This record gives sequence, structure tokens and C-alpha cells, in this order.
Amino acid sequence: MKDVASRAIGDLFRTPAVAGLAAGWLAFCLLVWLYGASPREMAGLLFEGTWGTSYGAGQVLFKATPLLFTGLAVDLALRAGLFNIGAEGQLAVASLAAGVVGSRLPHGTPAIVALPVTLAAAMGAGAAWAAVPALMKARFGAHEVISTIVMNRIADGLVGLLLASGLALAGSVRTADVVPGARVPRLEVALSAFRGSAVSFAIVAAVVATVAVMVAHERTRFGREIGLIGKNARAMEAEHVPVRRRLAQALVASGAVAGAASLGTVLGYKGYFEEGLGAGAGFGGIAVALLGRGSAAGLVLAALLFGTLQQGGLALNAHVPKELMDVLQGVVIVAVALTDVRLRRAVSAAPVASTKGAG
Amino acid sequence: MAVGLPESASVRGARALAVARAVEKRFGEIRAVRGVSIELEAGRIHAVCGENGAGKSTLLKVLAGMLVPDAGEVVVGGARLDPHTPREAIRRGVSMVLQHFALIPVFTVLENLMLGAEPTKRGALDEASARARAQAIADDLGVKLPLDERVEALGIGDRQRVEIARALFRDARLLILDEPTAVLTKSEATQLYATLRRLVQAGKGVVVVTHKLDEVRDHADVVTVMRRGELVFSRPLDRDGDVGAQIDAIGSAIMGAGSVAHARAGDAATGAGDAAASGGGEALVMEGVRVGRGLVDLSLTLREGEIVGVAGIEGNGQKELVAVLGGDVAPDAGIVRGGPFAIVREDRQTEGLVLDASLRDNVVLGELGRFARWHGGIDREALEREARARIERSGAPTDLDRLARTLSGGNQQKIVVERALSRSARVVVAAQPTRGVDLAASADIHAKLRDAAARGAGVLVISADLDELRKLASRIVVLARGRIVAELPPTATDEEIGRHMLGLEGERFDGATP
Ligand SMILES: Nc1ncnc2c1ncn2[C@@H]1O[C@H](COP(=O)(O)OP(=O)(O)OP(=O)(O)O)[C@@H](O)[C@H]1O
Ligand SMILES: [Mg+2]
Repeated sequence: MKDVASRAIGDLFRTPAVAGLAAGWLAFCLLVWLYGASPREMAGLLFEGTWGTSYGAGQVLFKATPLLFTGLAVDLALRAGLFNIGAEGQLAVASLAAGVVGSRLPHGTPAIVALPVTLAAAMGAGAAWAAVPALMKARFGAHEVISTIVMNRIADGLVGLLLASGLALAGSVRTADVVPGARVPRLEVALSAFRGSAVSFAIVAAVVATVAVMVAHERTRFGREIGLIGKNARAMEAEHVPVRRRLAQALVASGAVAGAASLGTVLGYKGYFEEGLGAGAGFGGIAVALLGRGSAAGLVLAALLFGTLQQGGLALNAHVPKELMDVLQGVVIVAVALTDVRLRRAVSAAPVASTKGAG
Repeated sequence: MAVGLPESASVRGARALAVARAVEKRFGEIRAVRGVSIELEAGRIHAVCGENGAGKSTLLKVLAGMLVPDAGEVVVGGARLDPHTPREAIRRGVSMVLQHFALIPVFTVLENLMLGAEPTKRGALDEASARARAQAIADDLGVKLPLDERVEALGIGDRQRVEIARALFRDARLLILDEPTAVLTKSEATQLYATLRRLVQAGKGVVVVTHKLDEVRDHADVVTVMRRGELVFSRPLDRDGDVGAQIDAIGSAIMGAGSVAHARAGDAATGAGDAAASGGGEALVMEGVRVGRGLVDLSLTLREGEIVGVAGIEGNGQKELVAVLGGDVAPDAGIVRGGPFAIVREDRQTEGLVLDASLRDNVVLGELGRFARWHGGIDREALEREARARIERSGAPTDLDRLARTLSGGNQQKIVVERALSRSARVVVAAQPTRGVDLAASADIHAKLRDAAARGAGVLVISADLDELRKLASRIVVLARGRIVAELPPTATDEEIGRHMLGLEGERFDGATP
């Protein structure tokens, strides 16, 4: 029976969430200790700086907002068996689109028009950016990991170029302010406890979107089909489901959702787009998706965890460099990635037949 | 076959290579194996029989270290199997070929054989000697193994042979084969049993799971029957006694209180295809169809209400025939006219099912469009109704939330067949429709194929089992080297059909081709 117990513990540590948290904690202790600080003290500070005050909690929510959107985006693709590394680039072009369109609307445009139009522009841009790898996948079977990475690089260059060539205010790398109607109000307007914190209603939108997408996975034809394709594309093909088209559509939808993250950055925070705004959220979304494992609650918790780490880094900055938190995030991502089956399946070009059937 | 020395008598004096004592295995609520004790000895061919879901695969996987029992113990080679892992079981000479294969499709046959085997020279795998050894095993088995071919390019029968060779490659002393003959023709099966007999005579032990009682009659030394997770009995076949009576007893033990006669009677009825005589329209016309190198020049007409059997040795175009009718590939030349099609594909686990999805999803796989509303949402009630109706007709467990993976092999097959037959297709193409299905369920599937024909569909059955074809079809066509080389009545004998399959009578068809 000792056998069984040790096996059970082994299995536990092979679940991504546990592995990620355990590795993260170990790395935290080790790094903090290397800097000559006490892990326990730092953990205490970290907690105080985040969940200890309502301001801190608001900041965590603020940081978690784009992560939840991008995490949802990566998760959507992962269901179909696609690994969308391109959320970063998709979000960048979407944010630019939000800044440009949102600032060119007539000044008095009411929110009920301005916000949807701006959001649609952002999601459309994200979708369009994802459409390129999607088409390459559908037409030539190009692996989306490679093509989305390439698209990230291109987005990087293109956004800078477009800003420099007229979309930015003269002498700056930012767009004009979006019209008031296109802004997402801060949460402090409704809840005074969050006073001073940058968290906006975008976090509410992110949670609602997450739940809505999860329901759609269950209840819509598209959602179910991509889920089944992710589990066995060959069987779906044999049943004449247009697999390639669905995969392309899933990637495009993923890009659109990633683009919606600009609600939390451009529209909910700065009120304009500037180069670098929201950078890193796309990659963070990969971690969120892997840790969140396809459930709404999982994604929300994962986004909160990474939001906590980001905000916590600032709280510890006086004692240990805040980059320590970046390392920590990296450790968690690697630990999660190593233990994630879905990921292994999506990345390996030649899936190895698993044989675990009952019979 | 001389791989590995015959085992000297074990410590306890018994010749048991593996023993299960009061083994219990549960999957959640399901008690798959309930307190089963069994001994597997050297020098015997040991047949294991039982209905679909009786627990045969589960019990044997426990013995091979692949599943850890919840209670009871497993003794291999005289000592408790500890640690309880496949690796340790293999180390002690127990090797199991699963019902669904474990080969790696992108590797070659030789690479698959070498996989996980002991290094041979200074820690490195020695390919040359591995090749020689593989060749020797193939020769012993009396088969050709395409060592440098990728496994994904092989048909199911070939994969089966590679699996067996792989077990022998690892020096198995006890070879456990889970339904090895499910897709073999009778002569292939006979050949396999001859090989197994040789292994047994060399001192090895062999366990074979099968649903085919004539195989038990002709080849088994010991028979174990399981029913609903329990052992009914495990005893030697008395060859000097009345073998027929013993086989009947086995049959009723498998099914429980004497319903054998019923199943047999149900299945004996032929007479489908009579509709064809009454002149149904053409359901499918194929003319001069060429697909890659698999189908050369295939012409075939299938009438409404008719069941046509396709016989042939695997690798003579069956895969391509299904692929072209299933719409996976377009023909390179020729015409295919007909449809809509419903296809039962031969490899249920990779092509037929999404194993990690629910039975609900699987019984209506690919038909979500039918249940979608204008806004893309699914009419879940309608879907539920249809799924429930189908699962109840299928004879598989009816809990729609279960994952397909958790069904036994035969029950998985029932899902695939039911799905195809539930669609009102004008052409039904069934490849190995009763693969791995027990006697009663086979009869049921046959009845369903006949019903489909009676409703006016043209039915094409591709099977390695000539008896199955004779039972169902009004005519049997023989597929050899990518074309139809003969058309025979269902009364044709095995020998007659076999001659055409081997192409011995095919010369005149070939006269004109290079
Ligand atoms: N991984 C699993 N999870 C849940 N249930 C399982 C699993 N594997 C097997 N079962 C169940 O255990 C029972 C025995 O299954 P098993 O595969 O041993 O049957 P079998 O006798 O081999 O049948 P068949 O002739 O169809 O291959 C069945 O009810 C099956 O559904
Ligand atoms: Mg089985």
C-alpha cells in the first residue's frame, strides 16, 4: 500500500497546478534567500502589498484583467489542439486599433456606441492578426507555433512603424486620447474601497467573457466541434467535419479574444495607446491558460495568481529586485508546461498514439 | 522457435508462469474484475472467453502489470509482482499485446520492435543484430515483416503481427494476446495458432482472448470463462471427451442461462439481399476507380437493398476503398457515383471515436449541424433524445456521460456501428463491423445490417471473416491487388474464395496489364 500512496503523491505533483505552485514556492524561497532576505518575511510583505489592503487587491485585479482575456484566448485555441503563442502580437495590434479608432470618434459619441465600436475594432484587429497563421494552417498545414511567433515579431515592428508614421501624436509614441465614451470606467466609481487603484470594470467584462466562452464551448456547435477536434481530429475528419476550417476559425476567435484584453489596458487604464502598453500580457496568458486548465474558475484563479505576483514584485521592490517575480513567473510557466498533457499534444508535430483504451 | 531457453520448472514445482489470487479491480462504481483467481501455465494455449465488458482485458492487464489491482495479489515467476509495473512484468517474461495497439505510428516496424528492448552491445542498440533477430522471429512466425516500413502505413493485420513479434523480441515466456484474431482471416488465424502451438511446445505459455468458439474448439488447451467480472470456470479442455458438448457448455457459460441457441438462431437467418433480386436501383456505382497504388482499376455496382461482401487479403486495396467511399481521398481516375454514405471504419479507436469525449458526443459525432439552431447554439434536448435512443439501440452501456475510453473494446464497436446505421444513408460501408464483438452482439449487428438493406440501403461489408460474409451477403466480391478479381455466390467455399484472394485464378484478369 506504501506503493499506492507514493504513487498517488507522485501523480499529484504531476498535475500542472500543484507542480506550478510547488515549483514557484521553492523558487521564491531560494531566490529570496539568495538575496539575503527571509522568505517568510518577504511572503508576508508580498501578501500585505497585494491582498492586505483593498488598494492592493484592486491593483491585483487590474493586473489580472488583461491576463484573464489572453488566458481565455490561449485556452480557446488549446481546446482545438492549437498552441496560440501569438496573443502578444494580436493584443498589440488590437491595442493600437483601439487607440486609433477610439480617438477618432466624434468627441461626444455616447458610450453605448463608442465602446462597442472601439472594442469591435480591437477584436477585429486581433482576429485579423490571427487570421494570417490561421490561413497558413488551413491552406498549407503550417504549424501555428512557428507562424504565431513570427507574427509577434512583425506586430512589434509594425506597431512602432505605424505609430511613428502618423498614428501617434507628434513627438511621442502614443495615440491621442480615446473619446470619453470609449473609456471603461474605473471600479472606484462604484466601489470606493478601490480608490486610487487602476482596476476598471474591464475585470468584470473579463470574468463575464470567461464564463460566456466556457458555456459556449458546451452549448454551441462550434465550441463542441473544436473541443472534439482537439481530442481526436482524425475521427472528426472521418465524420466530414471541416477540421481545417474549424481550426482556422478557432485561431481567429482566439485572436479576437486576445484583442479584447485592450479593454483593461487602453480603454480601462491609460485612455490611449502607447508603445509597450500591455506588453507581456500575451505571454502571461499562456501561463494562465496552462494553469487554468480549461475551466472558468481555473482561469480566473490563475489570472489572479499571476496578477498577485506582478503586483507583489512592486511591493517587495525595496528588499529584492522586482524582476525576481518575473523569474518566478517563468519557473511556474515551465513547471506547468512540463506537466501539461494538452500542451504536449498541441506542440508535438507527430502525436504518439496513446493506447489507454479500456477493451 | 528458439528465442530464449525453455523455462525450467519454477521454485514451487508448478509450471504457473503467472498467478492471480482473488484479484479485484474497480473503475469508480464499476467492478470490472471481482475476486478472480487464475493460473497461467507454461506449455498451454489458454483461451479466455466472455461477453463484451466481462473483464477479460482488465484481468489480463492486471496480470501484465499494466493495472494495479485494488485487492488480491499477482504472482509472476514464483514471486509477487513487485513493483506492479509492466516493466517488471516484462522483465519476468510476461508480455501483453493489447486489444488496441501500442505501436508508434511514425516509427518503422524495426524501430517499434527495438523500442524498450534491452540494449545489446555495450549499452547501444545494435541495429544489425536487431534486424537479424527480427528476421528470425518473422521467419519463425511464418510471416513477412516489412521492417523498414512505417507502422502508420500498415493495415491492421500487419500491425497485429508486428505486435506479436515485438513481444517475442522481448523474450516473452508468457505471451498474452488480447483478441489477436479479431481482424484476421480464418487462414491467417490458423497460421497464428500454429505459431502459438510451436511457442507452447518450446515451453512458453500463451493466453489468447477470443470471441470465436471454433478457435477454442480447434486450438485451446485450457479455457477460462468470465462473466460480469467474475470467473465462471477455468479448466482444461478434455480432448478425449465430447468436445462439442464442452464447447456448448462454454457458450452458455459466456452468456449466462442458456441463451446460446437463441443467438445462434438469430444469426443463422440469411436471406438479406433477396431484395436485390427484386431489382433495386443502383445505390453505388464505381467504374475504373484508381486510388494511388492501392486501387488499380476497381469497378463495382451495389444495388439498393443488397448486401455485398468484400473478401480479400489485407493490403489489397481495402484501406483505399474505404477512404475513397468515405470521402477522405478523391479517386485519381474513374467514377464513384452514389451516396450519401455511412461508414464504419476498421480502426475504431483512432478513426471511429473520440476516446476522451462522452458517449453522448460519440454517438452523434459529426452530426452537430443537425442539432444546431440558427444562432449556433445546440438544441440539447433534441440531441439528448437522439443520443439516448441510439445508445439504447446499440446494446452498449447506456450512461451517456461516460467517456468512450472507459468502454470495453466490443462496446466501443457497438457505438461506432450504431452511429453509422442510425443515419439514413443510401450506402452503408462497414469495415470489420463485428471486430471484437461478442457472439450475441455480433448477431445483433448482423441483424442491423440486414435491416438497413431491407430499408433499401446498399450495404458493402468488408471483412476478414468469410463466414460473416457468407452469412450476410448475397454475393461476395474478391479484392486482390487493387481490383475486383472475382464475384462469387455466398455458397462459395473457403478454398474457392481463398484461391481468388491469392490471385491464383486471377491471371486472365491481368492479361492486359503490364
Ligand atoms: N479505464 C476504465 N475506466 C472505467 N471503466 C473501465 C475502464 N476500463 C474498463 N472499464 C470497464 O470495466 C469492464 C470490463 O472491461 P474489459 O475491457 O475488461 O472488458 P472485456 O471483457 O475485455 O470486453 P471486450 O470483449 O469488449 O473487450 C467494462 O464494464 C468496462 O466498461
Ligand atoms: Mg477486451
